[in-house]
Amino acid sequence: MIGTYFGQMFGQSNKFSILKQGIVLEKCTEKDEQGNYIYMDIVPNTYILPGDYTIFVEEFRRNPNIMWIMKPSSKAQGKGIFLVNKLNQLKKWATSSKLPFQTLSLKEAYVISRYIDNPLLIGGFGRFCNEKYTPDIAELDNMFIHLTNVAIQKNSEDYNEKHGSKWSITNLRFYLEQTRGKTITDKCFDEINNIIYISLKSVQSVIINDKHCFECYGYDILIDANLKPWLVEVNASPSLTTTTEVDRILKMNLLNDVFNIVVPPEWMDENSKHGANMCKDKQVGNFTVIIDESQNDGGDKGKKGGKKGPTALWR
Amino acid sequence: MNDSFDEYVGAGGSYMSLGHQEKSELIFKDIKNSYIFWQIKKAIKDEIVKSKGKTVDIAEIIPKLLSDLNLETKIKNKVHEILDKNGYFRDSAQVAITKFKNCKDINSLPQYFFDKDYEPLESVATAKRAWSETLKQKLNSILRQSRKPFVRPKKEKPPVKPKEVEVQNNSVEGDSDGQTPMTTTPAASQQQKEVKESAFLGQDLPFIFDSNMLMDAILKINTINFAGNLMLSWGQIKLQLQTRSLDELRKKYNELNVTLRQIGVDEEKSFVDERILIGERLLSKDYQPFLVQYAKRGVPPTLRNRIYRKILYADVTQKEVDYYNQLCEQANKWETALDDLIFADILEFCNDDKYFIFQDMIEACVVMFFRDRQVLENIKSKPHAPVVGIAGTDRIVGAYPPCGVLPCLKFSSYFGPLSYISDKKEECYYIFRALYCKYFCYLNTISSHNQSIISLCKLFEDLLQMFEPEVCYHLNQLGIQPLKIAFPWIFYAFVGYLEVDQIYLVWDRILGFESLEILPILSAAIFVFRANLILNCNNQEEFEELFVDLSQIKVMPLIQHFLFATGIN
Repeated sequence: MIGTYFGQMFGQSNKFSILKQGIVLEKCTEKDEQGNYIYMDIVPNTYILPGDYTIFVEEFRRNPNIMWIMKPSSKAQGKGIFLVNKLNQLKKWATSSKLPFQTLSLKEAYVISRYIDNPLLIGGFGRFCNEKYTPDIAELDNMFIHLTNVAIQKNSEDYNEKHGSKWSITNLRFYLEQTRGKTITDKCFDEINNIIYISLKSVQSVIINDKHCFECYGYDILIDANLKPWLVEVNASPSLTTTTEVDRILKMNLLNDVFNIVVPPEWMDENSKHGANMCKDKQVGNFTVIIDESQNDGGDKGKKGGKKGPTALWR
Repeated sequence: MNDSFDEYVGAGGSYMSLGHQEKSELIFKDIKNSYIFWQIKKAIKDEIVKSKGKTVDIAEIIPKLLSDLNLETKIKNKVHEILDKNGYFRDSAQVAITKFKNCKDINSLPQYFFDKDYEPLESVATAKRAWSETLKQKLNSILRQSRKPFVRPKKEKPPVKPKEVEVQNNSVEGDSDGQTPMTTTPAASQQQKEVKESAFLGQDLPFIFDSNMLMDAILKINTINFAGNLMLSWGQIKLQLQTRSLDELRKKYNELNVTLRQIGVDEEKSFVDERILIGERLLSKDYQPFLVQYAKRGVPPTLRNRIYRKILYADVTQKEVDYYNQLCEQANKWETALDDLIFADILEFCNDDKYFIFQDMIEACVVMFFRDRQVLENIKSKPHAPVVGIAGTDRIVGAYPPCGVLPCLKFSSYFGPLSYISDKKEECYYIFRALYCKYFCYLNTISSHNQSIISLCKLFEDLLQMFEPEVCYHLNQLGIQPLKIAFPWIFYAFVGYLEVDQIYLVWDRILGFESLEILPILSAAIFVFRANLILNCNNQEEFEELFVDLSQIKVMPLIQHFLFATGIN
């Protein structure tokens, strides 16, 4: 499942498609004070195939030098993903699938997005993938370079069980502050908060809001070489399996924090009338409140946008 | 062996016994050889040329030029740097002064006393010689395992066929034009395979020495001299080395007082912004001693790169870049059997999830360090007598490795945190080299110097006993030595134990107070903080459990509290 993406945002319409599993954001816009649409540059250009095929081809022809990444909308763990830089590669894909091109059901739909080929490289080399990063065309097939998903990296020869190719956000932020400067680093992380906020805001009306339930989302964010964050994917069922000792401790802390946020303190008290989400703390473990809307509009739905603290898969 | 090597390298005289006149002559000679001097000459020449024939009184315009072009500060910095390099007389004098408190005339001490590597205490000197021998033998036996010669020219790599030719033939539509870059992946994977084939991988990593070996060697040192000190000591260090008293520490480390705000304690935006502003102003003033003073209260992360470079005289100009590239070329032409050990050691160090991403950077800097002859010239304290390479029957060709230092287990620890200071490897390299030569070399040296690891350990034990005699007694009853836990913390300057940002807070103070004392101070502070827990321990395992995880420690509040707020006098 690719994820629950954005439908209505701030009451404006956005280009989106509803797949069986979720909604995919293709363009993200917002109305400014004068009522004009502003393009929110947080998601790389995205299209759903086969539905948007003709529109996609137009865009492709306009910028023939861009690379695109094809992701199956119903698979996880990096399965079935490949890179495209020539239209004939798509035709190959279309004919290689068993069904005729036009009758691909929504379940077999793919999402194609513009590929960000100038990711932030740490230490001069993109070592998260256990192989040095290169945008070289010859290496398009080398999935070890382009995909950081642990399920794939685990099979790489260089996979190290002790750290599992994961580096904490705290250390990343510290590194960026020392090597790029405080101002630009703060801006980058503010933009990440913004991405999370905007993306959740736009599905607000579509998300089931029940005070007896909670959901935890996993955000995949790519930071490019200019320290601009891009939203790659939102996972509604992020993997909680663990790979290394460090990872296990991390995910345990995560679950611990989640329960601390969600479960009210008098949980064991049968007379308690409180529902979930009574937590008013600004910081719980590695989660920080991004925004608490119950303060703004006085409505009863206090929404907590938590930012997962310690780790993400970075490119 | 030692004698002939000294002849080869030069024993390095000291300024101590010289008069002012002679000192200033020597300093001036060093300045004349430096880049700064030529910069100044050129600037003055340019000015004169600009004035185009107007008769100019040079003696008059020079002072004005110096201040206009900010060259005056550069000269001042240069003088400081020269004094710092030759300033070990100051440190030795410290030892001399404390040991010979009643000696009325220091200058009548014999010359060799002030030589850089002279060890005044006989028991320590013997231990140091024995240690050098041990290391040499260990080195020999390990390198024999690799079955490679000590040094040999590197084999020519077969030229890599670029894959691009294939790709171009496949282009149909929507293909980019022309620019198919040379593929680097086959070479990279080939290099990776080479590393895999080198010795020492896939087995227990051998090492020349580790912190335990050094500690054992140190603890064996004893002296038959009468120690006038009648205080009962539970410490392991039997040498009666002078260490600063608590009063002296409080005076010296006054900038860490609880009454003063610190980077590492106070995080309000106004304070941090103010610190950054002051830091920027000092950087533009460019005077090194000001920046040293500034570092005492902590350096904001965003300024660390520039400030560390300035404090350590580690600025990178074209000359430095060229020298570094020279080292790389040398490393490409010649390989040593020690390289294999170093690579394997780096791999081991990179199991840490804080440093694994920087493996390439670490390799690039640590391997070059061992090839760098200038380390031997600049190092403040030689950890051991350099192992000498001999060609033929008796022609000395140089130290092995060229830097004169043998790597301990996880030597890259000294470099590790520095991968966070810059993304340019030359900058990281020179900062690392300066840090090791000026400070960290003492952590690997057996000596009675007040910066050596022996003195630091003594300080740790003295502080612990002063603050928590009950803990010391309790541990003594259980047969547990606190130094066993604290020694690796001090030996590795807390790398591998604390989080990276906390390590930097400690290193800021090393630079600011120009001393490694902060390491035992922090170690003692950690023990004192957990004193109650220690008292509840009943055996070795429970005790060790307490110190397994230091990742949550915030160092500055601990140190502040320890030095200034415990109410102990």
